[in-house]
Amino acid sequence: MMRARQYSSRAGIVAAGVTICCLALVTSDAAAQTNERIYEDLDFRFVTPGARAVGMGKTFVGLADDATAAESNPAGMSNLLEQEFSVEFIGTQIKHKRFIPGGTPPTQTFGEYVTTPSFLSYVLPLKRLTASFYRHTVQDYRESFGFAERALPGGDSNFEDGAFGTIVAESENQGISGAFVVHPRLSIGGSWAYSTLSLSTRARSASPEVRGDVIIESNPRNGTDTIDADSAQSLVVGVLFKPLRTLSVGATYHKRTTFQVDTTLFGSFLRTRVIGDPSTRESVVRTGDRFTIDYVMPSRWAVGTSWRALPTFTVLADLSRINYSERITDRFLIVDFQDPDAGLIKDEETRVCKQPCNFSISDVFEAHVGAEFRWYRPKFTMAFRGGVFSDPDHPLRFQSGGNNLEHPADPILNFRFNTQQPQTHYGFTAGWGLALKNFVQVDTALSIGDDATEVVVSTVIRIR
Amino acid sequence: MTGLLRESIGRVLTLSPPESLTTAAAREALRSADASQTLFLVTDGATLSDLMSMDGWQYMSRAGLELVNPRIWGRTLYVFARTGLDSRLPLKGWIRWAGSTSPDVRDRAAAVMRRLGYVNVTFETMNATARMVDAFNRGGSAGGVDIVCIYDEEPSSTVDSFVTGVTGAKTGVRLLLLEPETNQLLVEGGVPAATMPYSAQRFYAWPAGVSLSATAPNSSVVVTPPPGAAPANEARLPLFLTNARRTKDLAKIENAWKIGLDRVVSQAYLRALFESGVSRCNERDPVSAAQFKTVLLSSFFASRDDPYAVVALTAHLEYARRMRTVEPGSADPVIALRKMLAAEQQLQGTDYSALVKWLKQKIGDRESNMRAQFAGYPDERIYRDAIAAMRAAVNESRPDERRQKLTQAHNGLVALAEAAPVSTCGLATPDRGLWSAIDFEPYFFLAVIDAMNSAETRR
Repeated sequence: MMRARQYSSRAGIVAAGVTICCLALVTSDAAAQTNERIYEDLDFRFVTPGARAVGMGKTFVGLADDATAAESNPAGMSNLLEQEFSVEFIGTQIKHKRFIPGGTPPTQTFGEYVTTPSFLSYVLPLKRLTASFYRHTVQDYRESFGFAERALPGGDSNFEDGAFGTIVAESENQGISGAFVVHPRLSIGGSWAYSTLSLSTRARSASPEVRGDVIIESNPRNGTDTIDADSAQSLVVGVLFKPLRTLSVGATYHKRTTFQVDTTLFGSFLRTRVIGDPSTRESVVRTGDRFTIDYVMPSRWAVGTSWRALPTFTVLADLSRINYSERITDRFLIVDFQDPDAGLIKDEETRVCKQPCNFSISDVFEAHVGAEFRWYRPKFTMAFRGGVFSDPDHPLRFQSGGNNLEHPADPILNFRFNTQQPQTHYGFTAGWGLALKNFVQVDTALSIGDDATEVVVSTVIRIR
Repeated sequence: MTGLLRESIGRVLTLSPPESLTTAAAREALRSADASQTLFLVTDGATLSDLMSMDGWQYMSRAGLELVNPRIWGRTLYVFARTGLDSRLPLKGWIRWAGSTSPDVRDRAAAVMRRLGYVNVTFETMNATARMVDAFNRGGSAGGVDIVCIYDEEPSSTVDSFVTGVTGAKTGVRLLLLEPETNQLLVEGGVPAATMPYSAQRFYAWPAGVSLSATAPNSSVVVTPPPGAAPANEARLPLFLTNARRTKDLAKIENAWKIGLDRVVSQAYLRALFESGVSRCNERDPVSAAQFKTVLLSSFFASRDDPYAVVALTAHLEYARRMRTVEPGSADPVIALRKMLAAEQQLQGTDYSALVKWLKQKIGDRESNMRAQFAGYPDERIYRDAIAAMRAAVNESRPDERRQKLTQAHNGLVALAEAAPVSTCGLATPDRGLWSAIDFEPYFFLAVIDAMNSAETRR
């Protein structure tokens, strides 16, 4: 799932197109993770910075009129006449629904509560130019999960392994951004960030012992351990166009960011000594084998609009596209069923997915709609906000084809990754804000979705 | 205007029909007034002085009447003392008393000082701010002074400059204010004075170097000019007094409005002026024009703490004040403006063409405010039109056309003031817009255009 935030504009579409083309030239090679269950349907937190935006259904692409625009839509920083400083804190209850093969119910929710100082920025207007420094927590994900093995339906002797694991993924952007007023109706902007990833995972296929409702992390069969960090560059470009005084349209493009981390295999893996002869299948200990995998923040683009229907009332809508398919790269490591006889890997040396890969992730569209009502008083302004957003699943899927259909990998992976059909979930947001003397603005927001509940508090201080 | 006030107050309180009284009848009415009932008194400055001289101040005091809008007409006496003074010792003081040059102002100041516990202060008149700062920084024992009193209409560039000067030199300074007493209105040494809530004084954000007297948080001294001292054209607007604070109705009113009574009074003044026509601001009606500007500034200023705006507004007031104090027919607005600019902007200029050159430069600086256009603040279009008119005026070589364009620019700036988000006519406005931009000073340009218009007329 993703709560991204992207932005677009109308006259800016041409500029955005040009920019996107330019970015395509500098896009780095693809990246991927593994086909372990720990990475399936992994959530990124492309949350729009600022409680104000979150309160309005996580829309901001077409408005972007405060210091959080540095990440949301850099072009929007041209709306600022004064220096601004913003800081945001977010508390997230992660609710990751994992498919439990044969279980009742078929899904189980995992996740932890995470509190993060998630955004900080300083914006400095300089005539037609605007400069900004910011720090943004793109991902702060923590989850521990576990479930027992079960027999596959249909009376087959195959078993679907149980699994358990822990993942802690933290990614931050520390960057600079700029905006420029090209025309009284058009602004363009961009951000460059030094991105860091700290990833710690332990994933196991296993036959864990079950005591009552408690899964004991035991009897591991195989898996991976990843404790690594990496850095990369990330880019955002945006445009904001105002065809009317009450209407603005924005667009943004976030370039894919790829980190490379090392992972180490653990345990014994199935291997067919003589290809095509099931009688030669054996267990081979692979502990210590080391591979470099990709960890991808997918690229995404968005268009959005805001319409000030009344002096006190603004309606916003964003549409964003997240290219989750980019997570399947040429370094996508096959951990489960790296047996050459299964026909899933390119070769035994790299053990990456053969091309075309049997694994895929679908790109998704997200829609965001929100509104803000402002109550103006001489010494303060109060705002009430609300919104809804869609949140489509984006699970890892297995596709038969080119692999050995007689190998047990095919029915097991089909069952594991294709039984549960992806759905589109909907979330709701509400927010409240108070601006005192146009000097300090404090906003709060609550977002309730199927995969996370978030409480956001942010403040914007204008410096004169 | 009283109708507007009655309309506003009537939404909260039940009002009796208004009564018009002569001064003597008002005195008797006040004498027999029920102090537990909320009273509203609307009068003019001259009548108020007459009423007070007829012992009406005692009855007003008993009723708890307080002046809600002193800054419209009254002037504040600021009393600054060096810290650590022994109030019982002989002290030297200087006083700046704008407007009247009557020598007895020193005696009046000394009387006020006695009320503050400084029993032996010798005053001399001094209007040069720089000398005041130097003398105060030296102190009385080193040939300077210990006390400086500044009596000026607000906002006062003198107060601003003085405070900046002494705090910049790290001189300890204490702002002495009169403790509120049961008498809300009083007369000391023939000077009618009114105490007013300190919260109503919002012109200055005192720097850390200025300490307030222990009684400061609740009161200050407002000294109304002695009878006859106020220029005739400043007595037209009514003064508004009420005892609502004492009867607790003030809290009821302000809770209902969510805004201070003094603010509503300012807005009512402004709205009344606007309703009678913006053309009054166009110098064709000098009486209303002067009042309009004062009220406009007052209304604008009441919620402002932008130091840059203080400079701009002070510049305009300073200019207007100087224009009022020169002899009719001998006023040279260009000289006055040049002095003002020299003080505020370090502008060196010797003739009219230098001013035009300077104005061109200033306008040019604001030509490329494309960001404001993009941001789309409500007053941006007016701003742009005003700047365009100013540019056209300074580039125009034909005198008549230039005057016409200057007038257009003037009207544009007035319209901009009218659109100011800090509630000119009591209307809520969605954005503060350009009023938050640090490089914009419409009132300053208003003063400059006034001066240029006057200069054009006199050439």
